[in-house]
Amino acid sequence: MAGLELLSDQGYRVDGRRAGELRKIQARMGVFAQADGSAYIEQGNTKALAVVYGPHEMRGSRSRALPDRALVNCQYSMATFSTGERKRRPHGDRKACEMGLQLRQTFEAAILTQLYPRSQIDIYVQVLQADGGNYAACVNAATLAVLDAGIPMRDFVCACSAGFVDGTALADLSHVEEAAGGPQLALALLPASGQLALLEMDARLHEDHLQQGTALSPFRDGSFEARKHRWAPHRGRSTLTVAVLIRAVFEICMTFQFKKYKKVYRDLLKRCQPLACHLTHYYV
Amino acid sequence: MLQKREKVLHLRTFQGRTVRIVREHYLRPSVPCNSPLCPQPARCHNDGKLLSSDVTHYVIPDWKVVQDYLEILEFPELKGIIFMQTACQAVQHQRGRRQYNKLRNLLKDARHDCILFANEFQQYSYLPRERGESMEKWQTRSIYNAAVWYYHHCQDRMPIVMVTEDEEAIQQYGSETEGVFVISFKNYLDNFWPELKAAHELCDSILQARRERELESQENNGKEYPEHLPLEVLEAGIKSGRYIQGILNVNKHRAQIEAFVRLQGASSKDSDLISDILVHGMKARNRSIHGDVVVVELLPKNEWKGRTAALCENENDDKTPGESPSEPMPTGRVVGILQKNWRDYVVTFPSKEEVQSQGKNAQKILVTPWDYRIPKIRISTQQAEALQDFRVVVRIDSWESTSVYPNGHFVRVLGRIGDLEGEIATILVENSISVAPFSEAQMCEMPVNTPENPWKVNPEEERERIDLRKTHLVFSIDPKGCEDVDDALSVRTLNNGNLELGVHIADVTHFVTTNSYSDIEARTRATTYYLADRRYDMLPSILSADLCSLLGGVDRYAVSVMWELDKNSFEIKKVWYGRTILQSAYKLYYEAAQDLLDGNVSVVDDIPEFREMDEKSRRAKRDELVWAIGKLTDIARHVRAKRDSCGALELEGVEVRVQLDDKKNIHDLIPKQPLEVHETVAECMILANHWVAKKIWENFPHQALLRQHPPPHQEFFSELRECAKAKGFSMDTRSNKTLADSLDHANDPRDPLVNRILRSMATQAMSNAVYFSTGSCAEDEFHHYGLALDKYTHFTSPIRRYSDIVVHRLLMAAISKDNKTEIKENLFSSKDLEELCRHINNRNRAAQHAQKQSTELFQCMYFKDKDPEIEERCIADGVIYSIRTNGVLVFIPRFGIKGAAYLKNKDSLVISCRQDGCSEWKPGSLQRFQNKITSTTVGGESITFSLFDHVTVRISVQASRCHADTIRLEIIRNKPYKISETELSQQNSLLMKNELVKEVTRSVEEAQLAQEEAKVRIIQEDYQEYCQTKGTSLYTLLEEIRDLALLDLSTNYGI
Repeated sequence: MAGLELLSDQGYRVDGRRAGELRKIQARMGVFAQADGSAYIEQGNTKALAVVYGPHEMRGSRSRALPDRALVNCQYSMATFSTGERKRRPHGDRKACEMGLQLRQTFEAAILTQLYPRSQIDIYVQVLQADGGNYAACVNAATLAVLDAGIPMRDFVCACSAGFVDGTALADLSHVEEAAGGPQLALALLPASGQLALLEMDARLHEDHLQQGTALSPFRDGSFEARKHRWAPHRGRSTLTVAVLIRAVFEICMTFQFKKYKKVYRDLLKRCQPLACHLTHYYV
Repeated sequence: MLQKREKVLHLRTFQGRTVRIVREHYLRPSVPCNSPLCPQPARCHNDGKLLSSDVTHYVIPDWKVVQDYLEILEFPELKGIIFMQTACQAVQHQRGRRQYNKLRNLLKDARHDCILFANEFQQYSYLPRERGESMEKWQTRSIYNAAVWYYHHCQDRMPIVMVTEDEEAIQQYGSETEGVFVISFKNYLDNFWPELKAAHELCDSILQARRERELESQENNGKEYPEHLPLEVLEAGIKSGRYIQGILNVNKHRAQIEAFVRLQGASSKDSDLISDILVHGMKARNRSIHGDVVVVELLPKNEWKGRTAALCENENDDKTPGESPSEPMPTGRVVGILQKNWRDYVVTFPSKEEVQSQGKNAQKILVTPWDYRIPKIRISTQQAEALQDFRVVVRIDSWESTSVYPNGHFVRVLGRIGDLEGEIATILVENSISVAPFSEAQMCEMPVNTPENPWKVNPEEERERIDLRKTHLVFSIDPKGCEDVDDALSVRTLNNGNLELGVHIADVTHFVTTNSYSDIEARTRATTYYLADRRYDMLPSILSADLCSLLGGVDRYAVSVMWELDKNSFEIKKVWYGRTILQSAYKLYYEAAQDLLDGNVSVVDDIPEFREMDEKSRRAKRDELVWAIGKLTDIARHVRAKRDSCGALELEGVEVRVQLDDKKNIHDLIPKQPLEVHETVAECMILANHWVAKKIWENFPHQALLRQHPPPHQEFFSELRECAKAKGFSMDTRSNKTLADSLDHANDPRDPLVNRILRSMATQAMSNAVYFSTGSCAEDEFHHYGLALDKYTHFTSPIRRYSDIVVHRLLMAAISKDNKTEIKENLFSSKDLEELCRHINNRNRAAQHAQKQSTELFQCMYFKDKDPEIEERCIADGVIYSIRTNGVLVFIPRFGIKGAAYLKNKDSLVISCRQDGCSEWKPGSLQRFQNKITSTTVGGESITFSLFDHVTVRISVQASRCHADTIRLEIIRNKPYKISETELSQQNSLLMKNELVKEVTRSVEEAQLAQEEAKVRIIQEDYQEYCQTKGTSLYTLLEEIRDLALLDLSTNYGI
């Protein structure tokens, strides 16, 4: 295999999508009766299941209880059959622990934890099939499960990943694209306020690629402006890759058909016409 | 709306296990069809390259055809080709990156009428692979299905021909759909392109080569070479430092034995190796060819070998002469090839006798490449005998470890051996220079300028540009007869007393827009190629010789740089860049300008612009011009002095030469006393280049194209120091300033050649100046060593260099930075620019080689017909400029020839001289010292040649069938050769040179004329014999056809 061509000269990716297009998304809420909330999501071939218990009293050591808010406890695991080669342990390895921590940070930012002092909310996420964008799928599934459980949130959280190949940002990476080893960004967003719950990049990307400022200038006047220093690593320059991500995240929001966000999204799209022009919007 | 499907793949992991992988596959209702017949172009998003609309059919090659016959599909005559994605992927997976990149470039090439159709992403043309269906069957089936869909998509208006090698497919699909024909490739060529001879021949030779390969792989036994290691092992080895990566360079003079690997970038950093690595022998070279990127493994120290310093003839001397080689250097063997750098090779078939001696297998023939560094290539062809007297292009297909020589196939005929056109074509192919005439599409973009429809200044442009027509006296100084005037100068006094110096460069980018056809073509050519007797322009002549050329008396667009200088100190106060419109008042040539400068005004009568004027205005105008030239010279002297103080070098053949290059003269023939105007003009150009470099670098710190000249390694100067010491001069090479100073001092009043040779040695020790992108290296590396400037670029000759066009675009973007963003978007990114720089540097090198080789060709043709024993012209005065163990290298100033003269001949006799100085061969021995060589005969006589000695040499030509002829020198007297007549001709050696070129051209023309005459005579006789009428009779028509069918050799030679 002489190195797969991730982005052909005609602008197609390995699986036939164009650079900004997402994989097919399907979701279902309330899949388990005994849990307080549950959801199942498929993003392309990535399949994840999320279950929420709580808020309930602290289990285990009571000393961990927080006096002013609820404790969010997240556990991430991957089914042994989820990857091409069988895994030994479904959870407990370093990667899973880190992922759990990231999920926890994300949801602590989103759930109104101060309403439930001295109590605990458990979120269990399991990846059934891993085909890239595991974190994003887990966040999206967990959001739906939290909603299903009826726990109040500031806003729901929505996440997506993006990569960078030959000067082009690719939205929603599949496993093949992830395995190629390019830089990769993951973003979790509170769409209504435009706040970022998490932005993570685990490789080096040249500043120039992040600084293609004009592409995101429409965001400058909106709510993104106020918080830009939080998520743009380089002195508040807006970023192309991030722009693709944000748009992708909003597209995911739309699949959930939250009517209230439709307007926000339309406004955003209108303001970033140059970005959106070549994209077909199935969901609006 | 995307539709999701799934594809199941079974892949094998590195551990050897099979893994079942499910991949998504998204289909869409419309992908670009890129056909002009598309009923809904908007829905298909046809925004890229379209197929042309004047074809009679579309042709869709099957995957196998794309894999095997891509070279034929590259013919520009074949139009309307649709490559299916399935076929392209098959190439990518099975033929590797090289072949695939070729296909990609073909698709990108705007001049070639072919497109890619992404059939696997199209909802209706995609077919999933069925269970148990073989990959090959499925590929053919999907391509056929896509062809049918495409036919219906174009509303059945264009017949489609699918060409395949699969007999079953022809049977099965042949008559399934009306309008979609399935035929074999051979059949297709026969039916649709019967007149395309070259394609047919290529097809035959590919077929035969493939058959041979298959046969061979069956009878695969004894291995000639070790296998190459797999790629992963190589990469890991390079990383760990066990192997070293580099480019293979074969020694031209000992192609069978010596090759060197020049280290590349990263690998040389951590290892302490500084020199190249020697690869000794064909076995160790392990099937790599000159120019390949190879991976070598170092041998243990006790197996290291030294390089040989003896002169050696280019015959296949496998036996190394008894000389002891120099001290051992790192030696290695090739373990793998990372990148094959195969190109087209010019070869010669063996003569009849040799064919017979090659014996049993008459089908396979070993042909000898023109380039010594390339091994012999095995060709299988039936036409061997017919092609005997021709130079032929071949391509290498493969080199199995079982075979001593690589396998190749025949591509096309260039011309007869020894024929001027054939040999020139050889030089072009060998340097990968393609100079097809400009295409029609390109000519359509060109503005018109005919007497009926003259080109005019656009009023809109007039408004945007600064008008210099009234205010400035602009003139150009160029060599006599120059057509492409890209630079003009002006100088005037401003109101505040300061001076204003202006350099005006033709505005080529106004006519050549980014990514237009002419731009793409110019980018591929990268430079105008100057050969000894002709040139190949980068831009069509309408631009290069007319609309872009700043001719006298006509309005032209220009890009100008203007400086305001202090009236006394000539300090630069202000600088301005911008687009202008101007009219050059005078088109001067160097000699005339020099005469004006010297106060010799009689030359005015030779300048056409003055002829029309009456006496009074003529005088006023003349004084104005003389003042301007004088002022210009003052400024240039001043600037030059400033640069000199920083250590600018004046060298033979570096930057200065390029500046003077438009004279079409041959580069090793610099006039002995360059006129001062030469220097004045060159200095102004250097100044402009320098300031433009500063400007574009400031505005685009990461993507400006500059030119650097890295400082040389000190160890390369050791030879220069030794030679200078022999003459009693000391060379201080620590910096460019000290080097320049000591070169100036090293002047022998009795022999001006000494200084010239020393300068050329200094040049050889230095690396070449190259273009680079500022984003690719650190700022302190930008320095130009030779010119002693911190930043330098090429800006002043956009008509003949593509780099200047890029710089012009950069400068335009820099000065219009605020208002126009779209200009900036057209600029190259640092990565692309780096790629482009590499390409331009490459082409420049090729241009230099081609020029040098063509000069040598003319020299050889000149001396070929002369009998060296009788002809007086073949005897000349030479200077020894280098010493080798068995001979000396001699420079002949009269002809500008450099060559080797042996002191020991093939029978191991050495040279000795009688009393009167005449030489003869006697048995004896040679002894080499640092800067002299002594030959001692058995009788005890001895003679010593030392550096810079003048000797008399006889020039003869050593003819070679397979390679270029070479000049041979023989020392016939150890005294300088002096006759008054020679002195005379020595004075105008430049004239001599041009005469040489002219004479060769003339004799070639005469020969052609004679041939034609003979033919005419025969025809005349035939007229009489057969009582034919004159004029275009059927006979002459047939005769013409026979002439045209040059390639069809079999008819001529009756095989």
